[in-house]
Amino acid sequence: MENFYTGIELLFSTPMSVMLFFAALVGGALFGALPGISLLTLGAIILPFTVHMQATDAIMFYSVIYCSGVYGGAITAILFNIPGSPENAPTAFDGYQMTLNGQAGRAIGAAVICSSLGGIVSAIIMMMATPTIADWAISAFNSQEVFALIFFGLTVAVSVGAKTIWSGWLSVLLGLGIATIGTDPAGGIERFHFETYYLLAGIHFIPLILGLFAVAEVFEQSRKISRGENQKISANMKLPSLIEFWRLKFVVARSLLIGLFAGVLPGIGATLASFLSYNEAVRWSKHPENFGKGTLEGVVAPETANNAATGAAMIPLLALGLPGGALTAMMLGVFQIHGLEPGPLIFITNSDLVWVVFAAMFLANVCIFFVGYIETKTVVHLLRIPFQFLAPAILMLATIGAYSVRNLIMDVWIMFAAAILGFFLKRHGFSAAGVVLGLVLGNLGESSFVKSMQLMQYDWLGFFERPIAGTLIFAALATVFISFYKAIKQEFK
Amino acid sequence: MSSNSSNFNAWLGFFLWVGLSIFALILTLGFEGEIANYRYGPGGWPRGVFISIIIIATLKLFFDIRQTKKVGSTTIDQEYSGLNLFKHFGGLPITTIAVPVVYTLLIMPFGFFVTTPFFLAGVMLMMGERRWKHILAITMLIFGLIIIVFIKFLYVPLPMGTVQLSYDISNFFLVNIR
Repeated sequence: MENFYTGIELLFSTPMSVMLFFAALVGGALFGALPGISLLTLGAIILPFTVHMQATDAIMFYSVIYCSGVYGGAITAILFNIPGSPENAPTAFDGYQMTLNGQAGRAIGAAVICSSLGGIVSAIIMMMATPTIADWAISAFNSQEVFALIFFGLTVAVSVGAKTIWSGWLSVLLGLGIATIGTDPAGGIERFHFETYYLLAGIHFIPLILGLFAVAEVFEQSRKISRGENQKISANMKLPSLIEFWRLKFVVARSLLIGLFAGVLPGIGATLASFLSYNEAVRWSKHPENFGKGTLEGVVAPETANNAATGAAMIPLLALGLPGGALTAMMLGVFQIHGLEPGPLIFITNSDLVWVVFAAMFLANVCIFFVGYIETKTVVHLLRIPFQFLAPAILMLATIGAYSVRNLIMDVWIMFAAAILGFFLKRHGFSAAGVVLGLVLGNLGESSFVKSMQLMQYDWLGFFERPIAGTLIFAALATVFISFYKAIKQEFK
Repeated sequence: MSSNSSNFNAWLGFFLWVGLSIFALILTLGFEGEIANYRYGPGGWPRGVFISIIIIATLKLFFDIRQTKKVGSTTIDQEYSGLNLFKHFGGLPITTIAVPVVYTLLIMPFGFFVTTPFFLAGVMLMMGERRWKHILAITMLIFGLIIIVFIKFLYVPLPMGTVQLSYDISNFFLVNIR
């Protein structure tokens, strides 16, 4: 508890920290909710400017937008059938139907309460479990385990956001391929730099993320506007009754457990949590036929699970240095920008910073509960801003963000190239999140693979001589074979 | 969309993935071989990645064609399978891509302060906005906010321009704002 109080004290130590906390709370919910912009857009836009912030403020900012953004993404999923991010996708299945049935208020109210509840429980578990996991990881995790964990994370990441397993694999492999541009981690030898010194340091992930998410989304909205596909819906706010919630207590409890479990796994986190939770809600329901037609359970299950996964997703990031998704990958970037290396040692070297993150996530979820009502009403009004006025601001911020990383116009070109790539990848069922995960985990994966090979003297079976690495490699291979088998079986059915 | 068109998209996607991978694999042959302390050398990991892409792209092609034969034209075919660049460039207004590209071309010679107001107005025009008062007001609002946040408070260094007149205008802004 003492550490927690220290975290809170640091969180409110300067007016700038307080301002950033509330800016992140409102900004996350706003960007998560606005159509065409997502939580990742805000994360990508802010990323270059974190250089100018203190490390604690920058990391706290991302922790808070992670919580409020996942909650905010539910609003567009419910109102417009546009999930703010992949983890809000199952919310749209029933949430949007509830809107069409004139029950948008009930659906949003349920999302607010469940997001807050899931996040608070998750933050408490994170506070209790992360230091223990970190202590254990110091002794148990070597480069073999890190490589095995990344391999496992990548095999599961292929299911995030892609239309088919093949598209998911190609997305992740594309990210891994882009990560090989620059120099190799073993000998520092130049690769794929095309005789230009701009590429010697590799493709920076900030312009790539800005292009794939923020600018590509503007392109997509532009396409929709030109086709007249965007629609406006008004909604008011009405919380569901306590009796309704009491009836759903088992759905909430089950979704909490699923969210916590899935959130810990790197490479999947909240997305798998919300899908699994939705599936389980259907499986356990007395009226499964109501799902997809606008039932409250269909909103409660994924929204509880995806917010429960936010705190849990911080465990592998802080304890092992492994991001669980695109936003946690950006958080890893924030750590690196400030010369910090998340992992077991951070609990010794930067304990205060870690507890600021914990305190910020806990308080953010409490705030979501209390200010959700007011904020949602505001967000609903802001949704009336026509996209033609939002688009220039997004493009402007993205351009400044990409340029200011290294003061290179090349990064702006990379951003627009990534945007065009992202637009077509998304249109054709590939996953931009998969590309980003491949890019971020690719560098870590290759360097841990190199170290593992050197340590094991090139004996590939050496992974299986270490229990954790062996189990993870086995689980990864099993995941690959099972997913391939299912895809092939479905095809030949 | 017909089955033939779906098949064409599947093949086009396949050739793009495989072509990209073969090109990259050829480039890896130019990397130095074995590193003193690492047997697989700088090309080992990328070769693994690009060979995997070829295998997965082949499997994707097989199943895409099978899917087309099975159900003819499908939603997946119409929306996602393969890379029907021509149609989707048609679907996406070319100006949506062109305006940012032109802006990026002009920002270095003419500087951020001179080109940005035109860019902001250009984006609104390309998004279908025609009310000039709205365009002017929103341009001034966004440009003003950006200058206050990024120039005055965050001291972000933005391109000043290489053309003398643009440089002088940028300098005027900087001196007066900071």
